[in-house]
Amino acid sequence: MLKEDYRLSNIQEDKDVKSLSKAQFPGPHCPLFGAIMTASYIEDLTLLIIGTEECTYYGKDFAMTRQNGKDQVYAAVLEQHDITFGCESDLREMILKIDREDRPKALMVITTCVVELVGEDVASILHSLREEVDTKLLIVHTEHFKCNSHIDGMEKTLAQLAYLMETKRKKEKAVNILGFKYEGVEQTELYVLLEDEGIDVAMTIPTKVTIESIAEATSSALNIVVDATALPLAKAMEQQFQIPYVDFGMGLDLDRIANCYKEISDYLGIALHKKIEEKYNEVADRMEKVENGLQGKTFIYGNTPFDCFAFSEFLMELGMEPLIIQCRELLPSHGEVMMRMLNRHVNPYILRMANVAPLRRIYGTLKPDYYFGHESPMELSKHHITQIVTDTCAKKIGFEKVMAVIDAIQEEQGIFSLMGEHKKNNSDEQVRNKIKHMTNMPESMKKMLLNMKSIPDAMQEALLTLDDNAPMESMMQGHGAHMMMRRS
Amino acid sequence: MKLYKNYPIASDRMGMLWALNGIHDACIIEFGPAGTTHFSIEGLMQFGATVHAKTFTTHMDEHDVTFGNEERLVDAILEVDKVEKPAYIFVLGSSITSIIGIDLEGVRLQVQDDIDSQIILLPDCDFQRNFRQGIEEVNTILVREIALKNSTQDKQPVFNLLGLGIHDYNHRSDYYEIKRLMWEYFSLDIGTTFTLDTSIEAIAQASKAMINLVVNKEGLEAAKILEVVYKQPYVDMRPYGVANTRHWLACIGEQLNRAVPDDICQEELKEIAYKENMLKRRIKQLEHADIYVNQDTMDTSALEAYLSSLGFQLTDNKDNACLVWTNGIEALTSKKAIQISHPSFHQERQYPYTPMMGIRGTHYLLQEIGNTLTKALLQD
Repeated sequence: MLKEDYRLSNIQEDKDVKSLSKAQFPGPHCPLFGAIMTASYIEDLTLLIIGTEECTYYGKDFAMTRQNGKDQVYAAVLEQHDITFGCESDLREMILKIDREDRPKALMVITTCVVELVGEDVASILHSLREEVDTKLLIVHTEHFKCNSHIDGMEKTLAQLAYLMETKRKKEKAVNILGFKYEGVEQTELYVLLEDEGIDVAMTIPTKVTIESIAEATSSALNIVVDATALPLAKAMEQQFQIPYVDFGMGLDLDRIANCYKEISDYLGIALHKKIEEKYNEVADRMEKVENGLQGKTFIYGNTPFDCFAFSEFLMELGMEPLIIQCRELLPSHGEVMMRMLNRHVNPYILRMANVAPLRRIYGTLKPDYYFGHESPMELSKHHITQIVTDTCAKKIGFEKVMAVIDAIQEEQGIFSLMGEHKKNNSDEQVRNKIKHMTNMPESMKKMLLNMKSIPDAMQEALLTLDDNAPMESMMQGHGAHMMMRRS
Repeated sequence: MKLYKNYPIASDRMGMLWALNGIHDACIIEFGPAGTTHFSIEGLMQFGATVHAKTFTTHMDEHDVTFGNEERLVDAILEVDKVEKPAYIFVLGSSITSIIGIDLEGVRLQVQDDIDSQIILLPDCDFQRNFRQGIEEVNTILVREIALKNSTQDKQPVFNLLGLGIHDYNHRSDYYEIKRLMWEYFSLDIGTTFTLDTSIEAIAQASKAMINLVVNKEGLEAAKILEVVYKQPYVDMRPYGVANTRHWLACIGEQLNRAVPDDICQEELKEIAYKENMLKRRIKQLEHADIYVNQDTMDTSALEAYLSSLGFQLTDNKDNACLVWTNGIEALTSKKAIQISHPSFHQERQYPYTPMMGIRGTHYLLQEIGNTLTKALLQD
């Protein structure tokens, strides 16, 4: 199954990255999913999805689940006539109706595969309506045949938020955090450091904003990007409102993190140098300590909230060796990391992600020590592969993120070795007690492990379809996995 | 183009996938962008159904769309045949392949001789039909392409159930009640269900059943084919209420040429009949006995007929209705709502003993109606 063509040394561009099988399961999410996921963070943003019954039905279903039934999602369902003759007049009427009856502050129109395929110029229709409606009109194109995954939809959705912004007077000591998609930004290292220096985090986009507050985002002096999907928004704000940005990204490279902090200090005129140096040294020491235990261990990179190559390089820093890296999309920025890997004489297989089923056929022959990402824990434990799930680490920003990843490795190493031991020696009670005290693991995952005797098929599917860009716990609820837990 | 504030009506394509996913060992390949497959797999979990079918996607890119390239599908079929070794591979296009005019029949002809599995093509999207038509299509395809391709079996003491699927909100409980009644009254076990909790093997042996029970009209066409080919009689009825259930049992008995035993469930039936009469009296005393039934996601005609027989009047005015029979979203927030259909929202539906059909179904239904009327009254 694994061909030499799939090796890193043979990968030049995105089309060289192949899926391990032609029949994929479950396959990646589409950009419509990414768009809805991102837009649904903003409670008062109304959506109009244009597409088939299928896209609009599942889109509504997803938004409703995420927003606990309080979503504002309309569906414009295409009929045969619209596909043949276009839907301009219907669409105009629908938008006017929504504007007149519901008076949304902003309406994001999302076009899907079929609308784009038939060449309907929805952007022009919206443009022509701008004078006739009170609502602000935004557009996101989400045809899946032009991209590999949902990331494209997330980027476009965030970028559209720039159109809701207005030029405001600058506050020198205020920043925005762009791309943070979790609760609890106040507890992050970045937030605390800034707060200590008297810097106001004015806005966290998209999780702590409303349509009205987004208009004020331009009063901040700096944008700090903590997730790559927010980069297009940062660039748009730089171009339209001259707000500079620092790209923190999701990286785990200590020097890059230190440089980001330095850039932020320079922009804001604050002195973070000493605190940063302390944190740098603390994390570097920790990395050195865990290196011994991980030296020479092999891994498959499955799916984490981090960039696949950056994360794999970080693991290499800890002495580990990648056997397979599953990649969502090859980006120009990956070139440098790939070159560094090859220079270190590492040549893993690079495969398209979101196709877990065929991997199960090669675990036995490849025999990796670790699997990073979502998979059925039982499938992995059959082959004595330790699973590391790093979802909760994405809630961290800065050096604490590196520390969180190391904690995740150490903790889950413990669980899986215990699961292996359980088969031989330990009692159920010992295993349960150990799991109960795990702090890093999402609550739902913990419950599942505590309850399971054997994992049901549907739970396996739920695990396979979990997304790295949403908190695991809420995603599992969304997948009805809580039901499976009790049943098991 | 239609505008929906709530859920749109699901399409025939979705219905076809829902139906096929009730077959444990079905292998399905979708030729289209991966996102719809991913969405559909997640959507199935919200039905609270145990799903074992394997659904694969080929994904598509701009090159495939522009040039109508079928290579991905051909490769996927060859691979699934080799790796999964299924008896049948169900091949399904997507809205995109329908629009660009991919010739799926041509693909089938191209690869069929090279593989052991039989390819079953499902119809293209026509952007006009709803999920119920898709389910009906799958029922008839399963009969034509699988059941009828097998030699006629000797009759066994089993029955087939047609039209009940994972898309039915109450499928698990209704399935258990029908099985219970068929066993207690006629000593017949389940042969196969089209398409719930079944297998390709069970479908292939559909001819051994003594009778087919159609509980949703999606199964009617398939039952008619089975009747013509295998001389299997069928009863087309959704049994709600005591009288209806008795009538249903009598019809089954007639088709089987057997008398319906009258000493089974007599005490239970008496008690339910008493409760039914008490509820009728209560309904008579209501100032407004108007009820609203949401017909979007199921055929509600049999239920409506039973509710009318209790003394309710049907209305289109949801706001003024004393009871609303509807989906899980409304049922979660309204005290006058009783859930009869999906979508469900953060709710479990695993407990299998709350039927709405049959004898126990009547008992449960009467209880639900009585309790909901009380809740609605207290709310006012």
